[in-house]
Amino acid sequence: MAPREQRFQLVDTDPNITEDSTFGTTRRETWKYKVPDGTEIILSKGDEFSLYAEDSGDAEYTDPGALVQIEVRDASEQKVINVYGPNNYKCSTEFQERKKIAKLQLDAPIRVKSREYIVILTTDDTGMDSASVANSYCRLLCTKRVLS
Amino acid sequence: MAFVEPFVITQEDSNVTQADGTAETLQDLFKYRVPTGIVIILRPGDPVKLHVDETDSSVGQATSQVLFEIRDATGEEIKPLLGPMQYANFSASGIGEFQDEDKIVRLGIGREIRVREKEYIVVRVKNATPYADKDLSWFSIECHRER
Repeated sequence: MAPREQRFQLVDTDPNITEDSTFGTTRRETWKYKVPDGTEIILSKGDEFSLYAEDSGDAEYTDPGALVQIEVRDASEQKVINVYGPNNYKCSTEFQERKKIAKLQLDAPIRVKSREYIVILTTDDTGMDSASVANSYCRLLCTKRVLS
Repeated sequence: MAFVEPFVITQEDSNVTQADGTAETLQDLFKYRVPTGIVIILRPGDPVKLHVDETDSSVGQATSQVLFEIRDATGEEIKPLLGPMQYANFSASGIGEFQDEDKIVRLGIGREIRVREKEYIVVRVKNATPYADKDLSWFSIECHRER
């Protein structure tokens, strides 16, 4: 059967996402999505990304000092491609208004294959705990290709 | 083989040095040094965002002068990249504009510019009293890097 392509919203509650709530001022893998077997994710120029993040004091991230980045990693996590950022937090906080939503600036589409990773990294001055990660959320609009 | 990927230069980058301004003086606020093995690629239309805060935590004055420039490794050869222009261009809503596509400042260069390793991209600001505060101000240049 031919592969099927459909638009896909990758959100923080996806069952293939693991969360990291490392405390302290560090660059943490807040959401790490492992592409399931039989699936590919295609990231393209203009794909939209939004997030809301809280620190361990239950306060929203503030600039300067808060950064957001998205990486694509192979299954071994040795090969890393930067697809967004590291940008100031405020650049990616809009969920509704189309002209304000952050967009990927890729020259060519990137295929993220089965067992590879899309990692959303955040940095802030305070740190996150499990409660603040639970209160935070994100959305990446992309394309999913189901191979079988 | 060289690989090109999207990249954003911000004030938090470890290759950026920051310095508070001096009142009524056009001075380096942020200075990014391109690291070894990297080429920064600036293209026409790349978004440039800036928020300036003063040392008393008030927003930078709309009439403050802002200039982005490229310097060679010695710092002697200087090429203007953007401006000089008023800070009002970056702060359509009163504070620095970081989201609205219709209001964000974009590079008005005619062709792609490659900033090579050990060269600099510098953000310069001239603000009246009180001067621009490096710890409260922030910027981003959305570009590409070759590695």
